[in-house]
Amino acid sequence: MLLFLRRHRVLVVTSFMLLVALYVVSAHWERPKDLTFLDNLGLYVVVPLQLGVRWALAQPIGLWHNYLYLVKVRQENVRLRGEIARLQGEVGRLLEADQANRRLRALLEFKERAVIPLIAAEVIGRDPSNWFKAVLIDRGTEDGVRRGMAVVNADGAVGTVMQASRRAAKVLLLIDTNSSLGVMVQRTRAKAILVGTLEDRAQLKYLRRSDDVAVGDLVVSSGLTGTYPKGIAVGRVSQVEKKGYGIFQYAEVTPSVDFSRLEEVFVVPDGRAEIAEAPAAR
Amino acid sequence: MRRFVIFLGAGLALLILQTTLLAAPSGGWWRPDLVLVMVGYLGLYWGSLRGVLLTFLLGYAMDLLSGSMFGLHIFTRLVDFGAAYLIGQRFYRYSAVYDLKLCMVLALLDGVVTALFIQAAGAGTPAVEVAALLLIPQVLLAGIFCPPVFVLLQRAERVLRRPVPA
Repeated sequence: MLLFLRRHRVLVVTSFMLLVALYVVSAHWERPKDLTFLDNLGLYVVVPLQLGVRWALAQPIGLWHNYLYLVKVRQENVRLRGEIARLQGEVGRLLEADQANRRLRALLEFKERAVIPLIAAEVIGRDPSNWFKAVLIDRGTEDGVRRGMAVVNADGAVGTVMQASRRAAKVLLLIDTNSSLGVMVQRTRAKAILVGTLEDRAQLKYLRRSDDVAVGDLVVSSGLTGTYPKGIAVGRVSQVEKKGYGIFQYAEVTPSVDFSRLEEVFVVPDGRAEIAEAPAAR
Repeated sequence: MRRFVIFLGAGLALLILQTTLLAAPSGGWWRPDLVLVMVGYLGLYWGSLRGVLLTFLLGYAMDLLSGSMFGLHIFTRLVDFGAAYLIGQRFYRYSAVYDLKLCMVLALLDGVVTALFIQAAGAGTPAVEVAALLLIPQVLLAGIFCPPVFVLLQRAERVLRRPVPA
């Protein structure tokens, strides 16, 4: 027996670890728990590294644009290369500043519409797996971020804080399969639960067959859960399907937020906050 | 011990690349799973208790950054490690094509196990859609990134084996 265990120790230990992992998964199955000391320690190591990489990535973008412009200019006119490159670099820098300005102005306008203060945060990393949709933000419990808080941006609802460490927090996006949010169709007030799919879309569950829903209808948060403010734009109905049977109908929602370009977000500390609708709804 | 710590650092570096730089070009969601490739390497070339521990830690780090049920990545990475170890024990061939095929098989296995967990959690997306959307890109990306990551790790091993000058 001992000889067998020794000979196959790698497989035996791997199997044991698999059982431990299964136990951990089952313990966290229903809902995520608070971070333990070890989890916090892990994030304490990883988050500064992610911030560093993010900073390092931001630097070459300007250089890259300038270089491309420089090559192009060299082909066109060698004599004017230096001057044009400088000007193009300046234009690139100004365009980048202009874009950042527009984005930040939109965020500022959104923040002003909110009655209570919001916690501004930046996305510093994405889910390592292709199967799940979560992002890491650079604000944590030190800044007042807590598990369950809503996360929004100028375009609408983004997700919910899943776990928070001291300096960072994990946000589960609305399009993740584990995400669910109480919503309603703005036009008819029909209520449903929005759940994520494996694609960058979401679907409405428990939408009654008799409810009036049409393609193009705006879907907003219902505010019934208490953690998410009422009236936040979630997306637009892109497909409605009524099968020949059943008490519910199927509807697909295209989110208002472009999750692939998520950079800045706001955490809503109080789900009962009032945020005016209108421009946020695209 | 030095080898273990350096490989742990390398694994974390790959993980951070995966969540930042490599997440950008595809708009965020389709990125190569470099940690999976590294776990394949560990199963194939380490095949020791340190390899199991390192795999566990890398899975744990992935769980910390992921929106999945906590522990899922520990589980899937250990399954990948075990599979790579068993395949390596029985059918080992030292060639880049073999490594590439192994990574693709591991990516497929990893995807199937993850899909089963997602289904069990109640997300009902059709299997064909899952395969087209996630599984096939994941397998292909694992195959593409396998040779360079293996070469990099093998070089690191060679450097680490050199005697340290007194």
